[in-house]
Amino acid sequence: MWALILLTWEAAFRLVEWNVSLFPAPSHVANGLAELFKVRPLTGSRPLIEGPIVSLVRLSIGFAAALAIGGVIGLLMWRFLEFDKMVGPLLLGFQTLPSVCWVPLAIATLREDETRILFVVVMGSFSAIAIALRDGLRMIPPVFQKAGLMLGADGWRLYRYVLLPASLPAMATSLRQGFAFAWRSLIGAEMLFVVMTNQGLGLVLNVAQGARIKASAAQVVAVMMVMILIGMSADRLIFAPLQRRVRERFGLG
Amino acid sequence: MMQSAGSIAAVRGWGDVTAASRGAAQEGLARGRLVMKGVSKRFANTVVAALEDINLAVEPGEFVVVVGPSGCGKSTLLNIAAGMLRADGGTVMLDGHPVDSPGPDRAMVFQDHGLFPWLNVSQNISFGLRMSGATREQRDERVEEVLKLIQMVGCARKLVHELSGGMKQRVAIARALVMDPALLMMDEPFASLDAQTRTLLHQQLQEMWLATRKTILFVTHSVGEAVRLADRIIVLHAHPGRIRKEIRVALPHPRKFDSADINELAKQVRGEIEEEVNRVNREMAGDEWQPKASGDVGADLVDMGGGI
Repeated sequence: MWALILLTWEAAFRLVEWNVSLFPAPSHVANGLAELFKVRPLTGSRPLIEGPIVSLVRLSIGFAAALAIGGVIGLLMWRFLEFDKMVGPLLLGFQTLPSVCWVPLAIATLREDETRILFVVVMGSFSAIAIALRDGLRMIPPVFQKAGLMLGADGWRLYRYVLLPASLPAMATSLRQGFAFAWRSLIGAEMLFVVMTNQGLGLVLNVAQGARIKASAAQVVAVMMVMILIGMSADRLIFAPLQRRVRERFGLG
Repeated sequence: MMQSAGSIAAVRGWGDVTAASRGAAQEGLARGRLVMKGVSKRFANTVVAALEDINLAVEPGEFVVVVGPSGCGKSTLLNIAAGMLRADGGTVMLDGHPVDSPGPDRAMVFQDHGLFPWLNVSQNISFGLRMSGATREQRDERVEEVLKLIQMVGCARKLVHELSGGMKQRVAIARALVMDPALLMMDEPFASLDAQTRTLLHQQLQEMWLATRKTILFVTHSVGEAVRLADRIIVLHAHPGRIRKEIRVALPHPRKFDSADINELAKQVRGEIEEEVNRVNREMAGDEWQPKASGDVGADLVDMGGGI
């Protein structure tokens, strides 16, 4: 089906001869993609090779930090109702805030663009992680805790051998949610903070648009395709299967 | 099963319990004497006490069933005996030791089984042994033994969600029995099963009890269940929770559940608590509650107010 659409699109383009920079055909996008894999004379880098690597390294660091912060906050919100009443609504508010809204604050408070990007990634995703974890932990049936206590799992062992494994479905959901938020925040931040020495995908997208060449729209679409592909593969190959496996084990369907 | 009691307790490394059970064995006394004296409990923000002046002694090897309408404090009573809940007043002693926290001499089977879905059947059963520091070999041996007892050797590697409701409860019973507790507590364990499965499990529980002679404290709202299983039935009175009546069931074990004796006794017990149920329902529903004519309530009373 998709092949047919693309073919029709290409054929229509050849027949009508639209303006390439306004509405590129699939073949132009393919060309743009190929161009971006080649070494750029100005920077001496291959945008679509180095770009994704730089982005994924940043994502790993930012996501790990967000998981640590969001994980602790989610745990505290679950454990202490008063704390949840205090910060829960605020975090829900954070979650509704587009992550680029953190950019001005990053500029005002941080010096390095690299740390500013990480700041936006963390702020854009930790609240989603915390909320998903809290909600998941609340779903743990109270009988697990009772059963654990009756079977001698007291103190830290109740956490290690009962509550931790019982929270696996919650953690899988929170991981998946968090990744989606972190990825979006990262690309947004990379588009706005220009780190020329370390060009992430977001910047590559910006540069592609600014190339002022005939096929700039084609290159933009090409970079976006790569972004979609990375985000989708991470979800399809890592986070969704992880969540499915946990849910199957737990018999949650 | 019984002869391994000493070794299992030793494996767990709970010195005082081991000593106590060994001492009891030497004196020729069985384990599992639960004595509750003047136990009371009131929850925060409630006017009426959940439990008031409960005096109850359960003898070693005895099967005691506590019945009463929903909200009469049955589960509270059980949780106090388990050490999960502290009484406001009175004392709870098991084999001479005060009960104030969960301990290895007590095990509990819950209504919604509470099996851990991240573990398979044999891992679930050995969980308590693992917490008590038993080695792998000791655990495997005991789990094997108990799996035979519940006739589920073939299901050792199965996951919890792959089991039927009845099988889940059998595993939950095995998980409790493997700890070789002095007192086995069961909190409406068969309430969410269908009638056929329930009857099957009544039979199996009876067999297991006859084989192990554990002291069992069993809570239910079903009179039929109580009459089938109990040596003694304790009828609780609600708001405040008090012991209203004790009924000794003199029928011998193993019992034929469809016998005339059982049915006759069930009718009798239902009659005796009918008044109590009507009283509670009247309080809950206000003036609109109309008690049904006597003799017509039998079937309903099997689930005394359970749906409320």
